[in-house]
Amino acid sequence: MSGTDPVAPDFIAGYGPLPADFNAWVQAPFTFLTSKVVFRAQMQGGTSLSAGSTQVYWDTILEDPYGGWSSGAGTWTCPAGCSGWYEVTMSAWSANPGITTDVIESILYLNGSIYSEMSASWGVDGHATGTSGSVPVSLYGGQDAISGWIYSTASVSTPTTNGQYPTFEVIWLAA
Amino acid sequence: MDNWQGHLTTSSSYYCQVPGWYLCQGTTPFAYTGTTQYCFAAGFKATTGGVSVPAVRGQLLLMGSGKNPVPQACDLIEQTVTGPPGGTGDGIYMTGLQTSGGTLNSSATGSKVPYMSVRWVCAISGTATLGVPANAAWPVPPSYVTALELNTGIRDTIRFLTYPPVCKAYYTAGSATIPNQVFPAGTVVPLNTILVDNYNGFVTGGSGGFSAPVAGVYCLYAQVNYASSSATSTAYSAGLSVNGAAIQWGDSTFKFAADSTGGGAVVRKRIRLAYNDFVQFYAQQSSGGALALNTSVGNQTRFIAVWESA
Repeated sequence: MSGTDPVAPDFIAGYGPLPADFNAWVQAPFTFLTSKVVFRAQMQGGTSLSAGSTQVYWDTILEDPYGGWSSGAGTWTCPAGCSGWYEVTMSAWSANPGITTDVIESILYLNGSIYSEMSASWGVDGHATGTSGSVPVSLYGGQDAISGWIYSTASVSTPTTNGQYPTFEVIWLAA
Repeated sequence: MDNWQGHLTTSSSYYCQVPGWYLCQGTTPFAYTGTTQYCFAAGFKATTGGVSVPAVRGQLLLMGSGKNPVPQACDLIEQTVTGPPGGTGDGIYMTGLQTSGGTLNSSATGSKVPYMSVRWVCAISGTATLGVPANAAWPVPPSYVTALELNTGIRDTIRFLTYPPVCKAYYTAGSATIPNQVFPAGTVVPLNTILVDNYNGFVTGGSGGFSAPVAGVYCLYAQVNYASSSATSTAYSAGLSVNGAAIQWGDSTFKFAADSTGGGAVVRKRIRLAYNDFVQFYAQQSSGGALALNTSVGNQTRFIAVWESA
């Protein structure tokens, strides 16, 4: 899929529009607003978490119509021409930390630097534990790359049970 | 960002510039790293239709484990009266709660600062039950543009994008309880009151949930806030299930000690739903016995769904 931030058309007096003009003036902008830039991913196969912050290299891409995901870098790059405000939603999960002083956080990195600790909760001692958070972020198309990280006090792995996968979603909100 | 210039810094309020339903999100991280458990919450207070509405909180986050708590809040708030910042129009502002018994500062770490996001998502009224726009290509000769193309390609698309499916349902004080369960088992939260449901997708009750009126990616948020409990070493979890499949958990958070305010959990996801997919909000708690939902108006248990994309 491709598209760019909509631009309001100019209707020039005396100009007789062609069908292609209506596609550019109407169809393309409305298509962008109807089918927004979206990225959704999960970590299903499990990954080791260090005691601290660990980047998650999502192994299951649910949808990435604009092809922004890089498995090598573990980042999603805002598509060129689609600069704007995006919202990131993330559920961070770890296996049973086995301690009563565990903290688990969902964290967003932007261009390799920490941007927001979106949520932080007290980890459960006894079973897998998780926390959900979100944050809006301004991204420049073709340049800005974001990634999801998990903070875990305990050095454990992420769960491999359906329903406890770490998840990461991104959606375009506005130009 | 404040593209419609509704924010007033002196009162930290966002004033309504366009009538509609606003999806409000935010957090109030506190500069607290102690090991004693306290309750932390963010919330929103609003003036709606010229009437002041009491603050309604997000999750009651019980925290005390050596790192700053980051309580979550998300709400769908109606705004109808427009006006300049500082005027008499409707407005929204954030609130914070902490029960340490003393003064606490908000976190000042760059990656963990309080923030509020207020975003228009739907008009107050419109043409409901439209399908997702197809945005077909315009006809080429010998075909020509008719009222059909203009209505479907422009009128109906604008109607849908300005009035997409939105829903908020919540629990009004009653006698509902969530049973003691071992994670990952959960119980459908019996929401009994609908605030807005423009496409008539929500069914209340103990088997209730939200049927997607059109296909697409939905922003889904739900929070459960329990009554206070003397139980210790307890998990509170919140999740969503689509068509009875495995519950997709958001939070599973720990309660270490007795509390006097209540505690809760949230789930926040963007999920692609097909037409009529049935989403149910599940909660879990392991206090050792059945636990009542919090009955305070300000400590609401609720579910929100907003269509965002085809």
